Amino acid sequence: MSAFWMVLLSVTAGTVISSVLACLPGLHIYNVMGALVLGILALEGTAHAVPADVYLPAFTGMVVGWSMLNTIPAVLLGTPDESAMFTVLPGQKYLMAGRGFEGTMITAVGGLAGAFFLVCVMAPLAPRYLPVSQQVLKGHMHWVLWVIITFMLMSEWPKGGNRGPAGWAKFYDAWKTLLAGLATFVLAGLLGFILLTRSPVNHEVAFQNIMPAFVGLFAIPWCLLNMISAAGVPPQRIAKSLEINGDVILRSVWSGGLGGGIAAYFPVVTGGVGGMLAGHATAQRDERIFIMGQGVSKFIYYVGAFMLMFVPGLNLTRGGGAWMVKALYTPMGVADYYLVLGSIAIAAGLSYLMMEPLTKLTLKFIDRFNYRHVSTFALGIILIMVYAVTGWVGLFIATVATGIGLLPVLFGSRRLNCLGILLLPIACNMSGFGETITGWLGLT
Amino acid sequence: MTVNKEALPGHETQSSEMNCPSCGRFVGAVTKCPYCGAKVEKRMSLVAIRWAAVLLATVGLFLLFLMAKHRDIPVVKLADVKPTMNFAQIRVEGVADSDARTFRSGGGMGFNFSDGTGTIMVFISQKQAQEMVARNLVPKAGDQVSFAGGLNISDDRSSMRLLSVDEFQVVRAPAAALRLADVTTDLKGSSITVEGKVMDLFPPPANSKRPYALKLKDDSGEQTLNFWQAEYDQIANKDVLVGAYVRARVSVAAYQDKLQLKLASGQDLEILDGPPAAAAYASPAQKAAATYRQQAAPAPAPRDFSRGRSVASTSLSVSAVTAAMKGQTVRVRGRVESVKAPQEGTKQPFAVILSDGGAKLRATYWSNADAVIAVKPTPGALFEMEGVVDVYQDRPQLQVESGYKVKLVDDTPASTPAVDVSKAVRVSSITAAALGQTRTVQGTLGAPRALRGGVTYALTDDTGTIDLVLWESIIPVEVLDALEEGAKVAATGEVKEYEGKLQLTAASGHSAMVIP
Repeated sequence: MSAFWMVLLSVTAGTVISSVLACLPGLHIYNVMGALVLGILALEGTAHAVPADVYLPAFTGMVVGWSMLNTIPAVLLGTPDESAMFTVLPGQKYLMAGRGFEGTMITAVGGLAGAFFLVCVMAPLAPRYLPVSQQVLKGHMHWVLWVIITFMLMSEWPKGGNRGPAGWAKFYDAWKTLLAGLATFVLAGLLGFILLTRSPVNHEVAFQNIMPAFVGLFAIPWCLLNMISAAGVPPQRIAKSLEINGDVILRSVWSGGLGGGIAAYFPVVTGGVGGMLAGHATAQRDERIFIMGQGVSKFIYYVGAFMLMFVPGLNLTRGGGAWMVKALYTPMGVADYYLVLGSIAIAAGLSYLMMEPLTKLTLKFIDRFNYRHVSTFALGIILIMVYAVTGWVGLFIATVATGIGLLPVLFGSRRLNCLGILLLPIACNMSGFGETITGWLGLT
Repeated sequence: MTVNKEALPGHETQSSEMNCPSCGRFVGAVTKCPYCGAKVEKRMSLVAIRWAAVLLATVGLFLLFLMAKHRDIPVVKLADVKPTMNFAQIRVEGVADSDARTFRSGGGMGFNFSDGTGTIMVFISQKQAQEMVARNLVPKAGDQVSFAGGLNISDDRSSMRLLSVDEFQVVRAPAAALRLADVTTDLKGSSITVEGKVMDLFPPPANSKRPYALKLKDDSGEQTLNFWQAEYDQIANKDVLVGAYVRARVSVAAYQDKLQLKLASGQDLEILDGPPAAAAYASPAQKAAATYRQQAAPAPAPRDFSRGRSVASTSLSVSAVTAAMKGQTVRVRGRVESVKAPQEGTKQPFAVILSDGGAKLRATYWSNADAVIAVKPTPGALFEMEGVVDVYQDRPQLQVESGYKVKLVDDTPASTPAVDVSKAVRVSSITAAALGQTRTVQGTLGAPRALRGGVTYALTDDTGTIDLVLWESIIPVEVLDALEEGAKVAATGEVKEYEGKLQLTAASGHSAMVIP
């Protein structure tokens, strides 16, 4: 079989598999890729060794398919990962108005626009400008991270304390959410220090040692909230058209591309943080632009970060997908770059086409089963997956993280503060005093 | 048994939990009906759930912290390391394959570690490196080490990052005491102890990435110890190093078949009070001779404390020295064209002609100065000399007063430039078909881009641009120093491909030169 057909088949298979898996709540494609990496390594040196021309396009397709279709469980089942959590509130608003299909499809159009932006705009410029910018910025990453953290914490405003007599009660009312936000950030940061310095997860599966915490911080609280307070989902309408136009798409690409680009390029900054920064920077008010922009941002965050590894002359590893592939393969030259860009384009088109039938299928599922039961089912899958990969220790970590993840939900503060789990320890480490803090904690 | 009753008239809009489910009367916030005694179910307060979450988060985090703190880090053999262990914290036990080396950027350290089943590079942060230096824990080749670190696994290069200095254990490998003449490349990779007198110390030239070179001499011979600025800064009483007797623990290495003695830490160099006592390696006869020399030897020559203080640190080219500078103390750098020793029985000085391009300068010094010159000037070698400018027959000459001020900079003779401009081809003619072949090009240099251990210039001619890569390890310093942005140069090298782009890697030696 020629290399062309091999690549085409691989990327198609990767995209289809990840598109279907993306509909399962709580299952991150990086978990699946991790299992595949293990399999590929086991076959190395045997007669059935998997060539790079097969697994590179397949992994690219998986990242693309998942970044496009994980909107379905995030919006319709309420189980977002941290990069999709901004999509959930406006998305669920659409769901409650019987327009869940429209909400997910608008996000998918954002993903498709993000693919065009990445392949047609970013990719030609990246080999020329990114190595230069990397040279300039690499010594400045630590303070950039601190600026982002400062902005994230300071841009949360009081949500109470407007009425009533002056005094401690009013003060507490005003500061309650802010304090909860700060507490969430600090507690998540401490959890991050523990997991990054002396993780209790078995060293044999250390590449997944953050996964239980992420699941606990983001996915489980949402499931619990749905189970406690879920209202019935109204009948859903399948729209023949979307309430968008070229202007909406362009403005979405502008805001989402900026957010996703920041998240993909800067270490530790995730899609959620990038989306927040871009939202403030571009000040787009239209809800459609917001939803579609999040689709663009999420796509560029996941796929762009993966692509950076293959940019000639850059050699930048960002995101879990790239780190896993790095264990298998070191990109060489422009041929690999073209391979990945081609795979991204094919996979983006294919996954968009799969979006519509899979959304309809999920809506039928929701229509048939009680939403509370659906959330319970999602929670069950999540817990089984955490146990399967990391065992009882992982479940314990997920439980602790759930406690932290519930704080912003119950106190009404920003869930983004949960990202302190990575931002705080990594920023401290990059600034050179992470070891001092772990020393104070007695971890080193 | 409770029976649901409808709310009494007037109470219909109230929440059901306000009314008794048994008798239907309004009961308010109480959980037991005061009229019929029935139990009244209340919704759980959100505030309670909130604080339950806070409790779960803090108590759970504390328990997790205790678990992590008291958990033993598993000991793992490098052969058992799998990609799924990426980011794992593991403990390894084995031997340091190399001396820990201080990185010039960032201040961290690194060394190669082996446990018999595999080898891995270990990175140490700047703060940890400082602490290890202070505690004398810096590993050297052959030392037994045990430590915990975080794994970073990739397809081409895996590494570990040291977790904690407190958990770093080192058992020093015994270092054999050897005479300098007995040190050969056969000892490569081992740590040894040498003693002797410091004949001279050569700092690296300005803007160069070369190490310090310390000339050490004992009864048997002479060797050069190399170390970097970081190690130099660690040496105690380094101002009195030249002329002093020292003991140093060094590792033996070889580079391009030449023996190298590397000082891994400034703490490994100890200044002795006097000439070292006859060591265990010496034979009885040598011991006796050493004792005799110790008694009979004249006092060591007074040390030169003025080094680097009396004149500006930068050296002048030969052509820059003029008769108008008469009386000034200057430092001059040039290639030795000829060396004329005084004829026996005369009181003439040594005369060395330094040249630089077309310019020449005569430098003179007396026999007593020659006696302390560590490396004698030889034709072709690049030397730096410091002295007072004098004028003889209207031409400037340099009177060198101290042999310590005569230093070798580069012993590679300047050969005829290896670049034959007549063979230059157009840049556009270099295609992938020329990969691995040698080509000569000429053109104008663009802005330099620093590499680890080298520099790249974009070389442009009328037909195109190609990256010219020059590695410091194979290109002489003076060649690198002569190149700058905008200079027109000719260069010879091998056509290679990197990241999909063709580039010309300059050949070893004088393979690039500025052309008019």
